[in-house]
Amino acid sequence: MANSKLYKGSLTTIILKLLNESDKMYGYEITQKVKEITKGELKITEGALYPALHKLEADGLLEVEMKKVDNRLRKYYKLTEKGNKETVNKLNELQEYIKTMQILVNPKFGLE
Amino acid sequence: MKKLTKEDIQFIDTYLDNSDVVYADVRLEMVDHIASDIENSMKNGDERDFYYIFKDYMVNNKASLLNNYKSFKSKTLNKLTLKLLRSFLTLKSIFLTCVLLGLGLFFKEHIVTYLNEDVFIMLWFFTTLLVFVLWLYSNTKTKTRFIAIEQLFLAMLLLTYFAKSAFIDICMAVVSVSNKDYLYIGLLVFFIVTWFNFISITIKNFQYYSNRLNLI
Repeated sequence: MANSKLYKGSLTTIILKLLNESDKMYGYEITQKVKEITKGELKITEGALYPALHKLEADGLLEVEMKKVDNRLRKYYKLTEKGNKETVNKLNELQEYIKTMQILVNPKFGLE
Repeated sequence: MKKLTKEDIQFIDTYLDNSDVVYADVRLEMVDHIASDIENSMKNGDERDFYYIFKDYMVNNKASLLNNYKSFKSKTLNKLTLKLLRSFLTLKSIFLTCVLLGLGLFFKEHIVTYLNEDVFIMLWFFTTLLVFVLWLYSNTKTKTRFIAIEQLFLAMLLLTYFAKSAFIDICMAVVSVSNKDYLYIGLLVFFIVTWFNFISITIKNFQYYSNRLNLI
């Protein structure tokens, strides 16, 4: 992942946000979507993505669905009810964080 | 858009299996990831044969793929060991522990005549043997290996071995002779409750692979 230290803490929020916008997604699709949205600035490696997905699943925020697609099995992830609520919380947290950082880094042009 | 054939997918699967990615549930996600990336390259104009694109992918990514797999395996073992330990805090476990301890203390005089250090060493060997039989049964029944099932077997062996060693080698050396009976009963209850928790987590794991992932 580019600038990994800065982005690392936000990976869960990124995954939840993407899944919130679509019905279900599989691992590779998530990496490509992030690459596309950020125009290649942020690349999520499989080493960071899959453990995060498995943790979210173990925490009950995601559920899985297996499908046979193009001669192979594919594991789709989608948000659970608990996951939907957590997405709202995480996004609010992230927005607060961005606001605070903006005030700290650029006080003259801060939002407040 | 060009899609990989069944044979191409099988080739990736076998390659990963031969590279020690032995767990089918982990491998299937890796296979899909690699296959999707190769198909993406083909979509973006790479006209080479599957084999050459796959070879390039592996040259660039094999080391990190295998490192991630190894780290995932050890994290899973840690997680399952903690899960096995945390299961002692469930209501069912607490109730069972209390009942067994109560019974153990009530029938203490009868029970302790059968208990000694050798019995617990035998009990641990018996545990190892049963876990091995379960592992064989699981492999024969499912014909595949699953990370959560196998790593839980390993967690069970490590936990019971540690408990046996801690009780026998350490506690026995510092506890007075008159208190050893309580230690024996405690260890016996620990073994029974651990087995109870281990079996219930194993059943849940099988249900996960069978009902949620449809892999069994």
